[in-house]
Amino acid sequence: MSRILLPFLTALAAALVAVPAASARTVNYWIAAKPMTWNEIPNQRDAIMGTHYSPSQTVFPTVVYKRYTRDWKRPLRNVGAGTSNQDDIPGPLIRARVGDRIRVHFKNMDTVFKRVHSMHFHGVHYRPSSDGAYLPGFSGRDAAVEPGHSYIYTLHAGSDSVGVWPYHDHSQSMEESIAGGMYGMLSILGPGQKRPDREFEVVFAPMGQFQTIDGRAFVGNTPVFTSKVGETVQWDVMAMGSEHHTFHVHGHRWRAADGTYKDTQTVGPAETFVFRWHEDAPGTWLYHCHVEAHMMAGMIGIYRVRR
Amino acid sequence: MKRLALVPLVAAVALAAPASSIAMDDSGPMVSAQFAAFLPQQVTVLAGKSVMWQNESVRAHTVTADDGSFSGALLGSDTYSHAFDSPGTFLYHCAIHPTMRGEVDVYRLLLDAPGQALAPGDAYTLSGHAALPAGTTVSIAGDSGSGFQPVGSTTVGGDGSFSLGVHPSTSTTYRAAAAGDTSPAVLVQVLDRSVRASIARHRARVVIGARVMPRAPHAKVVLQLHLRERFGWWPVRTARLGRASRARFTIHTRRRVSARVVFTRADGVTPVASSPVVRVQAMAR
Repeated sequence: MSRILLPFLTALAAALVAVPAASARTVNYWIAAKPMTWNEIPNQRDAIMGTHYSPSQTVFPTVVYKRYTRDWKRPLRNVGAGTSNQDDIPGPLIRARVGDRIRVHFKNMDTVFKRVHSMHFHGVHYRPSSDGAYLPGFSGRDAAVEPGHSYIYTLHAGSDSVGVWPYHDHSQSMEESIAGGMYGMLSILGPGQKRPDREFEVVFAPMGQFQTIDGRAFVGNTPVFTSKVGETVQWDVMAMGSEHHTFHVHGHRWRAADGTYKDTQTVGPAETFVFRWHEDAPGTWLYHCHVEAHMMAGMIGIYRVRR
Repeated sequence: MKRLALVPLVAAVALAAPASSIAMDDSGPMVSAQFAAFLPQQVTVLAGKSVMWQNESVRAHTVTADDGSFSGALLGSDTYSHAFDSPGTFLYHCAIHPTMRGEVDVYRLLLDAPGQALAPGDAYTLSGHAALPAGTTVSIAGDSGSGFQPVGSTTVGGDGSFSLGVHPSTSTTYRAAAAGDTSPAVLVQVLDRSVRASIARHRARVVIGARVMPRAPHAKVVLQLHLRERFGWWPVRTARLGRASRARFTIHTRRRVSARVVFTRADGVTPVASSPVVRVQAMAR
């Protein structure tokens, strides 16, 4: 090699390595902390045990994460059609792919309780200025967004961010906020991974005197998940609060991350697990937390599969 | 000439006006002196509290008691306050415009006016104030159409307030009595509302109409469907009644519909009255 060619080839090799692997995408979400009146038990009963509950036991004012269009002009549903999840609790499903930059524009619209709020995200990469966790003397505006104010969290989905993760309030109001339903999920797909036909969000959390799934208690009130035979169904399961739960679905089983087959799997506070199956069993099936006391306190729902 | 004559009259009135002190902690109702009237024409005040008059007209007025016990001038946008210490009825007028008349009724016991009508069996807290020492017993009596009957008793608190929980099953007039004084009566209305619903299918569109009687314009009504997968009555839409106490819901479904409309409290959930169930068949193929 001549003295000209080797340096030229080295420079060319360096230039090729410096080119970014794929053009990085930025996804934007506009989310607000919105006060609303919530009913944990709209059909006012535990249909299985025949117990009746009055609105004074099931209705209360709370603050939830709500999705909006750009600049919070118009409210949007938190989850897309076809997921069977009801609106408002959990918060908006933040969908992205490995390599994406995620900008979450958050506005505190809490004019009722007038509390500070924040957003703290698990699983994705972020600087301390997007941590959203209150620590006096260290944290900044990311952890204390006052009513009427907004903040932009900048996150990055790395190759180690594949999967489903929680996000929740981590301001000084964290305890009341989480007890009132201020939590949601991020769903990050790997490169080349296809979206499922159905993606169901299941969040186990206590709420007042009940044990809830997505803020609701007892069959009929908890999400009525639906799908068709042949569809790819994905379950995103998470827990918030101070207890462990065991997620169980009737008529089905899945392959867990450790390779074994399960139909009941434990999830603790802020833990998540996600799995898919190819739907093949028509019918109306129960899904519930198998901790007996939790199931009896409302942690149960139905899953309906059409042919 | 006319102007010169007026000035001495105004001056004389101004001299006669006693110094008015507006005490911030014992303020009562406010009366507005209009062009040719006092508004409201009659006010009720607790003994020991003041009434404040404010001139909101372009003319000068006075507030002069018929029995001469108080008098004040209202020039420009002046205010005048007088504390009424003893119970009784006090008539007053404007010395410049004698057809302007007003009345102040002073009581030692007053009951608060109820906000809205109740449903039968509702619990209601009857509250009031008394210009009586803390610890004085207050007896409450209610008249549901056959004369006043005793309902219960309570005691006056440190701030002069008192309250009693009542459960009227029908509209009842209440009054409070203590140490020889009686309050004016207040009416707590109990309305037995009913809801009527209609249903009609127009191909894939089902329209459910609702009407609430007695009228409750702007109150909330909820459309509920009886759904198997929701294990009972499931709220699907909320609407506010119009001025004619009616509302209309439109849903899109080809399936058989079993619906009812529930008239609720302001929370949109607690039922007050419910329509009978209305049904419509599935859309014909």
